[in-house]
Amino acid sequence: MEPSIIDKGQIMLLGFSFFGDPFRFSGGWSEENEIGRLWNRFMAYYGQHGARIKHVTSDQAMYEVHIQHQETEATGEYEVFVGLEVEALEDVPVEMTVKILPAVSYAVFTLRGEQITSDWHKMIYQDWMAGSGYQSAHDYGFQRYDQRFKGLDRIQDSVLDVYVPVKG
Amino acid sequence: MSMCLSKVDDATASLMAKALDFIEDNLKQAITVADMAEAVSFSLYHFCRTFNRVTHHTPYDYLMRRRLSEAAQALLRSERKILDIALDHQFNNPETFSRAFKRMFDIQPVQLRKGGRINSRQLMPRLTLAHIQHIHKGSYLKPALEEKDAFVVAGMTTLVRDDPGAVPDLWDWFGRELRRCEPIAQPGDYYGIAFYPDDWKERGYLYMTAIEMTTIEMAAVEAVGMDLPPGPLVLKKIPALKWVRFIHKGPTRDLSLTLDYVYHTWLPKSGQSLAYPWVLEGYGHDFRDADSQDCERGIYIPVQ
Repeated sequence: MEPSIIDKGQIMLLGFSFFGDPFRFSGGWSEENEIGRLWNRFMAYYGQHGARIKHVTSDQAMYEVHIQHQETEATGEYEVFVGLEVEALEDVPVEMTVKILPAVSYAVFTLRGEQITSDWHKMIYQDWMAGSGYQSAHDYGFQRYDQRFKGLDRIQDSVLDVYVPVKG
Repeated sequence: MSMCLSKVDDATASLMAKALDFIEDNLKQAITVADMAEAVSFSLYHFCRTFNRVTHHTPYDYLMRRRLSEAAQALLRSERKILDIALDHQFNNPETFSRAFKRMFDIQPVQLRKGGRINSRQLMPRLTLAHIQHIHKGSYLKPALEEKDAFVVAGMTTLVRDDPGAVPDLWDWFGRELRRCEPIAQPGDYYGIAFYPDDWKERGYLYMTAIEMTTIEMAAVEAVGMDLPPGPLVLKKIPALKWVRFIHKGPTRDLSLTLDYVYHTWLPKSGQSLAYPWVLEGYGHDFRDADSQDCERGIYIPVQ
């Protein structure tokens, strides 16, 4: 699977974050881990108080950002941030936090159907990156969920973009 | 009312702890304040004065708050009828129970049963000798009102459940992340910020280790970009609020003693109400050794 390489400006997100081992109490793709809980918390807030979130970008894409580096990889801890992209940081609701991602080039992988639940992480970081001539530019990556993602129960019909910061 | 935080001698402290045990053993019995006095061989008059001076509750107020808190938990955790729960806890008619319950939790027992919620912070915990000793360490728990402008912090958040190591671990990670960063321009004070959802006792609360960004307004962050690397740090704006500040003297593991005092002894009598279910721990700029008996930190709660 070949990614497209794109340049992207600074990304500003509003949402919720979790740092720790998200699978400390459970595992797998079930919602019963801290990532699932983070989504539940975000979606509950969005459902109830969505109108308080101002300056949302037009396609209302949702982001799941994972930040992990050598030290955290040693213990299985990482930071997960779930949120919406915004165009301005005014009027941030008190319950929410802000995450800013720098301007950088990304390799964008478009996953379809069962690719979404496969081990794409290994495919990208081990298989693709080794032969690509690119290196990881930062210790994070994100999944960008837009209208093409229909939900975990309709994975066959879903499309998901995975963004990996790269440098040539 | 005056909150006299004078010294209490050891003998008096342990007698009042004995009275607290007596109350705890008899939450479901028909005891009177006179019975409590007798349990520690005090006259009724002297017992009421002493109990109030030592715990900052009147004996009857404490008994009612404990009974209602136990009744609330029984409502949530068992299928027992409301009337039976009231009777178990010595409320002999449902109207009295309902009224007292509403006064403490701002919700009727029947509403709670039907899926209503109370924040676990509203439940009066059992007081112990450790609580008594803690509130008489000095004048640390004297409240001070502080108005703070809005400020922006950079930090990391985790969910804390039963694991007592989660908060110290996060501080370790946070310290390491800050060392990985370029130095933050004019860093301010360190804060630990706890956010309590209604069901935090069952599902945990959020805890953020944070450092104040002294020069940066949110809008300015947007304009100049972040001077932080794209690591795990997130930004949060704390709005302009009125805060009541207490000093916690002692190690982190004793924080619950201060919080119990703030929420259950001071707050109900203060006439104030919480603006948000948050607790801000203020650590200044050079905080060291959170495990020592002598260390001091500010505990701030936002009020309306």
